[in-house]
Amino acid sequence: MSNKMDRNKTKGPPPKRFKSGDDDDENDTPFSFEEQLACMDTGDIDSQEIFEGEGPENQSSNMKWSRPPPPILTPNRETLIFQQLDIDHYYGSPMNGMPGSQLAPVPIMRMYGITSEGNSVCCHVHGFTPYFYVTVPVNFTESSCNEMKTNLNKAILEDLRGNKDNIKECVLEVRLVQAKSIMYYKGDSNITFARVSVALPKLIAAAKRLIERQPLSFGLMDPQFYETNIDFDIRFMVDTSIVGCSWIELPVGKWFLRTIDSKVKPESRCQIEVDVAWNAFIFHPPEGEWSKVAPFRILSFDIECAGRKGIFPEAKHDPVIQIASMVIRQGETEPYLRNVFTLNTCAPIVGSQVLSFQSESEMLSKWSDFFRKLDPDIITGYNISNFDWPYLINRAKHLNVQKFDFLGRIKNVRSVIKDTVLQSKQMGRRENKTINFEGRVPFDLLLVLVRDYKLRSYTLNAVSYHFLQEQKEDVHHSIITDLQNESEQTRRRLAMYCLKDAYLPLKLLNKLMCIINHMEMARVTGVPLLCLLTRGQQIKVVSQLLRKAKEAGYLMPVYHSQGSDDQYEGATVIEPKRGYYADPISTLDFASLYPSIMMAHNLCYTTLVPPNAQNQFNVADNDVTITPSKNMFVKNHIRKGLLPEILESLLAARKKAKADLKDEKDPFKRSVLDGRQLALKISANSVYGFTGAQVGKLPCLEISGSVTAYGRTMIEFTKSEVEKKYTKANGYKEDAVVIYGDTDSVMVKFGVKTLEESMELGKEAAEFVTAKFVKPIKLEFEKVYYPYLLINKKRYAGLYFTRPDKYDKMDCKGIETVRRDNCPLVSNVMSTCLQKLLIDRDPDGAINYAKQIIADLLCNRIDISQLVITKELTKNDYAAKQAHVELAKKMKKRDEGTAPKLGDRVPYVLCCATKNTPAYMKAEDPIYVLENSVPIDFNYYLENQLSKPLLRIFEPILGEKAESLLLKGEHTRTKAMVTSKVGALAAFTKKKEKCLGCKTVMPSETKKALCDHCMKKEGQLYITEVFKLRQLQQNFSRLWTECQRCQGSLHEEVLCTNRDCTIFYMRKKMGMELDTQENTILRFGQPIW
Amino acid sequence: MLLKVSPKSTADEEFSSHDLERQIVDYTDSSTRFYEAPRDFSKQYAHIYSARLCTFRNILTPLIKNKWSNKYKILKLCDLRESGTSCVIIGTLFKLQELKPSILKELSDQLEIIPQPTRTHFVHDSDSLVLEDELQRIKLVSDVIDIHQVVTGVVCAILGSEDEDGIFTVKDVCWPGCSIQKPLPVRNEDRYIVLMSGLNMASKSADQILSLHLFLEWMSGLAGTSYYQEEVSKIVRVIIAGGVFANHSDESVLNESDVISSAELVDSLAAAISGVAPLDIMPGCKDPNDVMLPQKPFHYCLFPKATEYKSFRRVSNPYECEIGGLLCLGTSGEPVKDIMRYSNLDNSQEVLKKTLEWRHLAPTCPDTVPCTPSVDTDPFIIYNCPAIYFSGNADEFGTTLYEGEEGQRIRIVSIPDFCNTKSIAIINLANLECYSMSFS
Repeated sequence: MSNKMDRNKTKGPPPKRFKSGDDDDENDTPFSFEEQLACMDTGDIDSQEIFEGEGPENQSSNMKWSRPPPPILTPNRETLIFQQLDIDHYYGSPMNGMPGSQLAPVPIMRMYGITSEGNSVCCHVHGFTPYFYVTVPVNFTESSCNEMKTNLNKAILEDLRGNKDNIKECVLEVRLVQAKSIMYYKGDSNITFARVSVALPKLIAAAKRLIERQPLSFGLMDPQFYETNIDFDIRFMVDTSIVGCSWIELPVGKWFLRTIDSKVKPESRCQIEVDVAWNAFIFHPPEGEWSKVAPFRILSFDIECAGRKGIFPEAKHDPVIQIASMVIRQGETEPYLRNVFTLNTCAPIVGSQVLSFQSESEMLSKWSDFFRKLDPDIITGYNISNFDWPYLINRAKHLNVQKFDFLGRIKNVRSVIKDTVLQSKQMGRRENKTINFEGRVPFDLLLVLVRDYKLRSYTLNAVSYHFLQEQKEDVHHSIITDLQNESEQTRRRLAMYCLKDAYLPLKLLNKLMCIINHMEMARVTGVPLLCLLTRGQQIKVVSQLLRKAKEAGYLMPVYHSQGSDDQYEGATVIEPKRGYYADPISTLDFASLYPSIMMAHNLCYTTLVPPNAQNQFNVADNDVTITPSKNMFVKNHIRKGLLPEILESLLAARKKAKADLKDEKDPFKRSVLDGRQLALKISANSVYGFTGAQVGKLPCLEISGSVTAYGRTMIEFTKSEVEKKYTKANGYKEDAVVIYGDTDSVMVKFGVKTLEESMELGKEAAEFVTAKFVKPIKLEFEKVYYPYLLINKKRYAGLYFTRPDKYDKMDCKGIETVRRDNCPLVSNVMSTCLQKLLIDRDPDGAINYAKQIIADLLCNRIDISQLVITKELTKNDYAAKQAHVELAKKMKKRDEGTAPKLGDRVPYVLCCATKNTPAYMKAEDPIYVLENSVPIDFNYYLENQLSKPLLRIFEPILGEKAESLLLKGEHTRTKAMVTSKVGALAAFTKKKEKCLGCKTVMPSETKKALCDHCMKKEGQLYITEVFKLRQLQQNFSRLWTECQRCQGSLHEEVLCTNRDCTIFYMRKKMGMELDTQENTILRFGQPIW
Repeated sequence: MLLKVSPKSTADEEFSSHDLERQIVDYTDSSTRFYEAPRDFSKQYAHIYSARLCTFRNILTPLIKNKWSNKYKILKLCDLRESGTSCVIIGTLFKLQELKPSILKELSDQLEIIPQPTRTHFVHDSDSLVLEDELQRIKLVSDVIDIHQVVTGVVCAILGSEDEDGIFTVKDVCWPGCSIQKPLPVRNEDRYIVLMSGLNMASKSADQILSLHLFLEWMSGLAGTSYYQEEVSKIVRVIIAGGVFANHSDESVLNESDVISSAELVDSLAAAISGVAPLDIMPGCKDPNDVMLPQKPFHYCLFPKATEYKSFRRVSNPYECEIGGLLCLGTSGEPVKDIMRYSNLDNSQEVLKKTLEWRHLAPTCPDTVPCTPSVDTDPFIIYNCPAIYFSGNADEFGTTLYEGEEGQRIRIVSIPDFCNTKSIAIINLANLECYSMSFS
């Protein structure tokens, strides 16, 4: 399915054709961006009516920008249905006729969304009150509740310094409820909690603190707090059962429309603004009809700044010169609106609107008008969170542009930049800037990619080449200012880059289906879309756990992270029997191993029997399971765990999504379903992680430890069962051997020679072993590796077969193919070697290839782009000296203008230096190396980059002698000597020409190519040299014409400095080598008589 | 008549040997612009396109006035502000072709497992056309230009208007057309030139050697009757249009050692021909020479023997010369083959005719034919209208007489590949008649 989908997604628009043909075959030509712009559809917004701007800032200057006009609504006769995209809350005055406290301030929820007609909606939800639970002593009665309410209210009021919000009543209600704690199996009896409702969410923390300090003054003893640490928005969603990005229906007569004439005036920029009580609307679970997606407006934009030479643009000094915007409606493939705001004039761009301004302030102000008018739901771009937005906002502030920063959907709220730190196990520590856009979702593609994909480089160039096979022309920032200052034509050129940079994120979003996948994840886990990007994994599990707990009458305790060092044993592996297996290796996998263990053994917070408490709760021995890690859980006939329930519903939903996917034909709906099943799978797996996260909301090492312990024993069990059954003694051809086992899979060598047999046995063995496990644990036969190269734990490669006739792919784990700190040569060599080993089944060929590469490397025949290592210059002074930092300093001395700046990526190669020079001093700019033929330190590349990974894959084949064969053989004897044009000795050396035939030094006065001795072979030697020249010329011509095509212009010079492009260095090198070779040929004499 | 010797005379005449003098006609080499093409590899290709466009702008401006009188403004794309108004734009055509080989794709394919199918013809239904002037480009739609009959690099003027979506609808087109011809000299006596190509001497498998011997004997007057020998003596010049070492057939891969071992044979052959008639030898794209057009003449060290003859001339590719007052112009065939690869034109005479109308020898150069980054001029523009216009290494012999609108008469010749066809082309300078002759 995805094939067809991808085709549609990546495709350019159907171009107008000559000789009008009526074939359906759409066009795949990677046309130049300019034509692509030119032939995009110009949009079909009905321009019948101008949307009446309400606030003073909503300019109705361009009809195409605004949304379709909203219908005239009558709450008494109609329902209002919309898909909510974001939920937040604010403090306001209570509304007449709404539930909840009637004393201001009260928290009011806001849901933002879009109707299926594309009208924006802001819905105020009234009456939802924050609350928490606390345990009470046995003698705590209804009257104690009142007492507690009064005392706590008083205490909080005293505690509120200043009381800015003018809160009159802090505690609204204290009542007793019967519930169970989610932690531990403690029998079936409920315990009593006090449910404390407070006026504002922030008072929960204050209340908790005050009670903790003096519990007795509130009638409490050793109080345990429950659910005090739940985000208010999540609390609201859980209590109303809303999930992220779901459809909301406001029933007839239950909602109130805000208009200019109504009592309560609209506060937002949305077209429709309404009020509703928190318990009066209908939520539609995202199933069936309600799994549809509203036509969201997605805006992608990019800015260009005119920096000063050598300094990264700073908002205080450097102007914003262009802002390009592209807008797409969710579900469509091409943007319907494209424009670029430019400072100073700009020649027209076909297919895009150009708006030129003489002053930067005006441009910024007009752009923010455009932004508000457009009213986008999702804002994307590349690195907009950390660069474009902060720059724009700071620049506007610096230029004193009035009202620029009113970017959200609430009229009077400014967007401000905040620094946030996100600590997550998945991504480590990341510092980000966040900006509030009430009701709009900032969806920075860079952040999404960093989170979801492991790539060598995350520049837009590298990413678009990786996913779209499109190179992007890149202009060095030192040229931008010059282009800006020259003419309207050069500014047009700049605008083209800018538009392209705005277009690519949309194209990538589409191709990778980011929005759909995230939306489905929000629906599955029940959190708002924005949370997925700004928060870690935990909130997703918390949201699901809370929903289940609420249903079953459990409360979630507050866990105080102790930062304990308790380690549970991780997943172990069966010691690999390393080697190169030419026979098929069947792989048996546990389907969703950890989730199925938790389900099979009913592992949950609610089923865990506290240590030594078995007798206390009267649990019989056959009612409990003792896990291999010696923890005790009650069986599910005593009490069914919440986590198993969550997992069951997730996996059942996944099964359903997969089944629906099979039947669905519509490509867009298919992408939704596929996104959903993926989201469900990820969510199921993250449940286990949540129980193991020690700085989490509710870690439970008894659960996570038990899960891994089960995993280990199951792997061992499978091994012994398989090896016991499949033996010659039992009538099988060979004794089966388990050669390796990892977390959830076991590799078995059945000893058979054909794929068919190994698949047959694999299936049989999987069924055989599955029968011995508790349901729903299931061992599946999935694939055969044939051949299989087992290097070490978690490092292997093999050709992956799921059917006997053709392999699916080459599967590599833990092998240097994507590592970012390597040069491209390493990953290229590795993948070619593996291809030769696995696909061609030619170990000798692979060894020879590796030797050839080593020989090429030592003889300087490897293209320099293969040797370039790239690192980002994040700060100038590292504790330890680093190669790229030292190089940046060196380059700054040479030329301040083009030297890498903070935040730039520094490409370098390692060059020869005197003995004992530390590696960080050897780094050099690849361009400088090319221009001055600085000798490259090939030994470094051989020893520090190539040798280890190569030995790793060849040792299983060659054994001990691998090293001597590969790294010390005959092929390493010849080395190229490069004479540098720079360096200490260069000034004293004088280059003497050598005879091209026998390399004897020629007498200095002659200009001939050959010595007298070689003269008789002149023709032959000439032909040899000419052949080298031909190859160079061929490449030169192909490289430069390729760049011309890529830049989309024949008559203009190529300016591109995209160092991520495969051919950037090659292009430069080819020109230089061609000059040299041309001169060499000329030594034979001018061919013209 | 060289070929149409009346059969009755053969029986009577003696096959005795006469001493005959080889006839001589005036000859001037006019290929300076090809010899002196700059070779600075720090330059890019943009300049050659600019030079081309600039030259053609001067050529086209008067033609446009003629064709469409002064009715329409000639605009640059950047001045195209209002859509709907008809105007004339002069620019270079660029064809977007999905199948065009791309070195970027090839490099990324090295890391992939699936090999790409190798193609020799790159036309696809989805090909589309844009016109580019000095600063911008615009997408074209047209019923008057058949996209599969044009190629990248051709300069023309288009009449039409831009629509709302920024697409230019072409109503009419003005090609540069063939330039004005110098009046052809009047010649009463027959004088012949021989055109051959594709000797393919480095090929081990080919069987052309015997035919070459026959050709040599014929050239030296060792065949036929004395009348016939006299006719042969009227051959005033032999031009070998490339493919000397290796011919152009797509599958032939040039092997360095084969070339080295055939060098002596080639030299002897060149010497033998030069011994009996003036010989111009052009390099072809697979010969041991540069690959970039214009190709320099073969280096003298490849022809130690032949260089001794004054009648032996190593010339450039493309090559332009004047023989007996007739301007000859031609290439070794690569530009023509390349045009056939990127369009649906499949007849080499047809392609040659098109290039005359485009007034350009090699429009796809530098886009798909390698070319030296030339700076100020585009040497491939046909500045002077030739009388004989040839292209080497064609699959078969073919010829037409092109008659231009202003009375130009141009003999178009596709010189056959000798190795495959064993034939050559002969042109009579007196009447521009052209024949092929076979030596199999």
